[in-house]
Parts: sequence; C-alpha cells; structure tokens
Amino acid sequence: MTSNTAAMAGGGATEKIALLKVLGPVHVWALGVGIVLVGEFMGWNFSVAKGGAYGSLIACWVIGLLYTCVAMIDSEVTSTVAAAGGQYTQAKHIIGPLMAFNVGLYLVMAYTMLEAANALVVGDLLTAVANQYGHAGLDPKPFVVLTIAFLAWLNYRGVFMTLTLNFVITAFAVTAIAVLFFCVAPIGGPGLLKHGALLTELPYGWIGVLAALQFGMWYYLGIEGTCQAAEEVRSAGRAIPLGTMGGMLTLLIAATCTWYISSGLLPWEYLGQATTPLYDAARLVGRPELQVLLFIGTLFAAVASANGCINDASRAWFSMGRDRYMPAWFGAVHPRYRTPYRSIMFLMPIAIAFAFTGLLDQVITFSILSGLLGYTFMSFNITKFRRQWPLGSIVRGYEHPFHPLPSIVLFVLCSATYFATYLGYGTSLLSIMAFYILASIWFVYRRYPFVHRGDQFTMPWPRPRGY
Amino acid sequence: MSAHAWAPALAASGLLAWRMLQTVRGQAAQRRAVLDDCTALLGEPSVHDHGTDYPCLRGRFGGAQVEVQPLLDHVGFRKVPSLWLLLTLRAPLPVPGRLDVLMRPQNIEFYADDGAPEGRRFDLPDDWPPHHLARVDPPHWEPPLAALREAVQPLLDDQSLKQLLLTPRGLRLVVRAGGVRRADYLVLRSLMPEQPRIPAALLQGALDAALRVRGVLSSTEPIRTP
Repeated sequence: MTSNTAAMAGGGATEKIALLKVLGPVHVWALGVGIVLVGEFMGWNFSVAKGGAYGSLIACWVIGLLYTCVAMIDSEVTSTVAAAGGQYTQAKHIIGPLMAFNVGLYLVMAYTMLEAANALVVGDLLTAVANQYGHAGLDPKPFVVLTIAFLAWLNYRGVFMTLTLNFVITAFAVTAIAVLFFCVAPIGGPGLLKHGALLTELPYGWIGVLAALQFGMWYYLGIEGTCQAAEEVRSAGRAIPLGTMGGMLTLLIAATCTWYISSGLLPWEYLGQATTPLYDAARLVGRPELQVLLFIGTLFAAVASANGCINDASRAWFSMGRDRYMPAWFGAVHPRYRTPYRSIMFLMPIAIAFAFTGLLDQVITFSILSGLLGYTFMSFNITKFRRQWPLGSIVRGYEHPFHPLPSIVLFVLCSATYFATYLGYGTSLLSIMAFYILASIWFVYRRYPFVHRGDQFTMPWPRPRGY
Repeated sequence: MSAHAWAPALAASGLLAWRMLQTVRGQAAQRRAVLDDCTALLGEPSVHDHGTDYPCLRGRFGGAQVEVQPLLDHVGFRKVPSLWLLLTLRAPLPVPGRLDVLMRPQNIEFYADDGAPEGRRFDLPDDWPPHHLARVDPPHWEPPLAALREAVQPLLDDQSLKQLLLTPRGLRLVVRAGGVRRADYLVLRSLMPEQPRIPAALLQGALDAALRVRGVLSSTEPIRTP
C-alpha cells in the first residue's frame, strides 16, 4: 500500500509529502517498457523511408541519447515536485501559467494524435486482413470511428477500465514479437532473413540519417513516464537511472530485433511506408499461425495504447480546465462515473478528425512534434529550476549529474530533430508552430484574466532566489 | 475464411467475452463489499448502492447522523488514483460560517469543491503541516485552530487527512483509505484496488476525530456574526 510519509526539507521549515518508497529498478524498467510497447508495432519504420535501414538504426541510437537527457532532467524535477502531473505541473511551478498552458496543450495534442494513429493502425490492419481473404476495398474509416468511440465510452464509464484483459493484451504483444524473432532468426539453421540482398548503402547519405531522427523518436516516445516513479523508489539516485536506462536498453534491443526482422524480410522502400511492418513481415514468412499471432499482437497493442492515450489526454485537458487555462466547463466530473467526461467527449471528434485524414505519418509527426516541444522547454526549465532553487534549498529525491551538460545536449538534439522534421515535413512543422503561437496569443489575451493566480503554485517551497 | 477457421475464432471470442463479463461482475461485487467490515461501527446502518460507484454507508454514531462515502479519484493526470473516504457528520454546529482546510492541494480536488464562496484565505499556524489551503467565511471569524489541530492530530500524524470542512449544518472529514495497484495503473490505466475492503480501524479513527472536532466546537463559546 502506498501510504504517505513525511520528508523534511533542508531547513526543516518546509515539508513535502512523499509516497512510500517501495519500488526498485525492476519496477521502473517494467513501467518504461510497458508504456512504449506499441511503438515496436508501427511508426518507427517511417525513419527507414528517410535514411534507409541503416539510417533508421543510427537514428534509434542517437535519439536514445536525447531521451537519456530527458530522463535525467525529468527524474530530478519529478522527484522534487511532489504533486503528480508530470511536465504540466512542473511547468506550472517552475515557469508560470503560459508555459503550463503550452505544455498542457502539447500533452493533449501528443496523446490525441497518438490515439488517432493507433485507431488508424486498427483500421488499416483490418483492411489488410480483409484484402487477404478476398474482400478488397474495405473502408477502414468505420473501424477507426468504432475503435475511438468504444474506447471513449469505456473511459466515460470509468469502472470498465479495470478489466484484467489488459494484462493479457500486453503479455500477448511482447510474446508476439519474441515468437516472430525466433521463427525467422538464423538460430540452428539458415533462417529466412535476406539481409545480404536487402540491406543497401545509405540511400540519401547522411542528410537522410539526419532526417530519420524525427521518426527515431517513436522508439521511445513516452518513456519519460518512468520518471513519475521517482518519488516512490527506494533509492531514486540508483533506481531511476538504472531502471530508465535499463528500460531504454530493452527498447533499444527490442527495436533492434524489430529492425533486424523487418529489414531482413522487407525491402527498405516498402518498409519505409508500411503501416504495420511487423504484421507484413509475418505475412512474408508464410506461416498462418504466425500471421494470426502478429495480427492479434498489433491489434491489442494499438487498442491498449489508444485506451491509455484517451485517459491521459482527457485528464490533462481536465487539469487545464480546473486551472482555468481552458474554460472551467471542462473541469467537471461526471456525477455518477466520476470521470472527466466533458474532456473525454470533447477530444473524441478531434481524434476522429485526424484519423480520418488517413495519413499515418503526418499524424505521427504531429504527435512527435508536440512531444518534442515539451522536451525542448525542459532544457530551459531545468536551468531556471536550478537557478531559482539551488541544490540544498529544497529536498530533491534525485539530483541529475553533470548539470548543465544534459540540458545543452538535449537542446542541441531537439534542434537537430526540428531540422530533420523541416526536411521532410516542413509544412507540418510550420503549421503546428503557428498553431501553438496562435494558441499562446489567445491564452494571453483571452484566457489569462480568468486564471486564479493564487491557485497555481501549490508547493510549500521557500521563495525562489531573486524573488 | 472457411467454417473451420471461424469456429475456433468465435469460440475464443466467446471465451474472452465470458471472462470479461465474469471480471466485471466480480469487480462490481468487490465494490459493493468495500464497507462490509465497517457497518458494525454504526448504529442503524444502511447501505445505499447506486450500482455504478462505491456504495454509501449511513447510520448513527455518537448521537449524530453519519454518512460514509468511498470515492475513487482517478481524474489527475499522471497521478496514481487514491481511494478517499468522505465522512460526513450531520449535526448542527455552533459555528458562524464555514472553515475549509485542504491538505496537499493540487487544484484537482473536485470532491472538495462545492462552489461555496471563497471567503478569506489564511495560513494555518506552524504546528499544522505546511502544505495546505485554508479558507474561512465570514472573513473575520477566527476558528479555534489549536483545539481543532489536537482533535485531528492522529489523522495529521499519519498524513491521511485530506480535508476538514466545518459548516453550521455539520462537518466533513476526507481521509485517504488506500489506492490502486501502481504498476497496473501506470502501464495500463487499470484501476485495481490495493485492498478490497476498508478496514474498520481506519473508519473508527476518522469517526473518533469527527466526534472530537464536534466536541471542541460545542465547548467553544458560539461566535455570532455582527
């Protein structure tokens, strides 16, 4: 049971609430892997279209460094800001309402887009299966709407989310990847992979590798969620880096396995634009049972991820309503089901609208960019955080080492990824930037007067240096 | 697909649906029984079940009408849900207005917000935990804070107290009764309770604190509004 315990701050005058410290590195590791699992089934392969198979692998490793910095910084801030809520709460406390509004919006958009991407995958997967069994021309849109509407209804009802079926979903998805790997890998025989024939030089040179950075983020998007455990680990200084890095290494290995299977079975030109690369790889193996396994694995992973996305996006939107960053109407809770039902219902048509475009790579780009904007501002946030509350002035569960190196590396890699996005999706990049700038202007001129400024800062910290 | 292929698929789907139904029913039954260990604490106990949420337990304690409502709060973003116990003592109190003390506020406490006027905000004395939001209405009322702190001290010590609300119609204490399994929630957003039933000792502690608060206020000279 996670009961509360007290932790006294440096001067003894300030106290913060910390949850019982019961988690070890293994828990943190499991958390990270569970969150990002769906990324193995779809999305990562768009990096192959940019930089070829090798370019994709390099992007996977370089972006691993970006996420290492994110994890280090996020671990420190999350283990210090006792109020849960991730980057949104951090921005509210460290920078102020405008930053919190933007970060809240990034989170909502990133999750809503990911939800749309998951629904698109479900629709495309069912269409592909229908095609295979002689029902060509099946429209995926009804399945997209059904998936989003059904999951929104589950979230609206609240209590039904407690289905133990979700355990089966994740376990099944992990098993599917492992089985596929062992079926095609050259273990005890020649195997089915044709890397010698399919792997090529970098098709667009090193600029292609740079462009692949954008989709390289898909390998890890969301792993910073592990840092939310910072407060509850037995030794944050040990468990968070160990668990998060262990999780990243696992994903790196899983991603490399996925890359290894897919690039050994599919030519890079096809792999780079496939919607469901692992399922397509299983089809090429020619064993129906493997195909069914990957079909169910992909379907389960996408549905489970979409369910989590609706939950997160609606709660971030709800928090913004409660803080008056959005109309307070969204801050309502259903009288019977105790869920933020207005936020859930409001975001549902937005997810459907994006899914209806049918452009999975564009939708994923929007999701990635929203996440990337959040990471970029983390490098500024941590600098300000360290300056305003220096080490020793408040209790930190974990202090990340080598400051300010991680924030500088993070900023440089984020900038490189923006450039990468500009190369392939310049219009998307400019439109989403314009959207956030317009939203910020709207917030400053139209919403800020409604914000209850006294309610914003809820932490019992001493006044920041220079206040 | 041939009929041979459809048959096992349909059977598997049917099995999953049946398993899902069993799970949902099992969890609904578990929710209905959440207060079973606590009913003996109250006189004339009655349980009111709406069918969708946790049931509400009503009865008498210390000569007052008492209402106990468990509430699972899962509306926070990236916040592991807590199971709160809303204990309402319906007995007229000799207070001129309303005192609302919220511990560890995060601005998402929908259950602690009834839309009442904000009144005057003030800082509690240093012997209270520092992370709080305290409001009083009418603004000039000075509640007996030292005596109130002593009355709820056990709940402050184990940091289970979330809200203390006093009004002329009665008082409410909100205490943390537990949570959900952390990993299940963080990975899958599943709300699996840590413990199926609320222990009687937990409710007993809250009931005793509520009676002490009432006693403190009853022994204090009533304050009249000018």
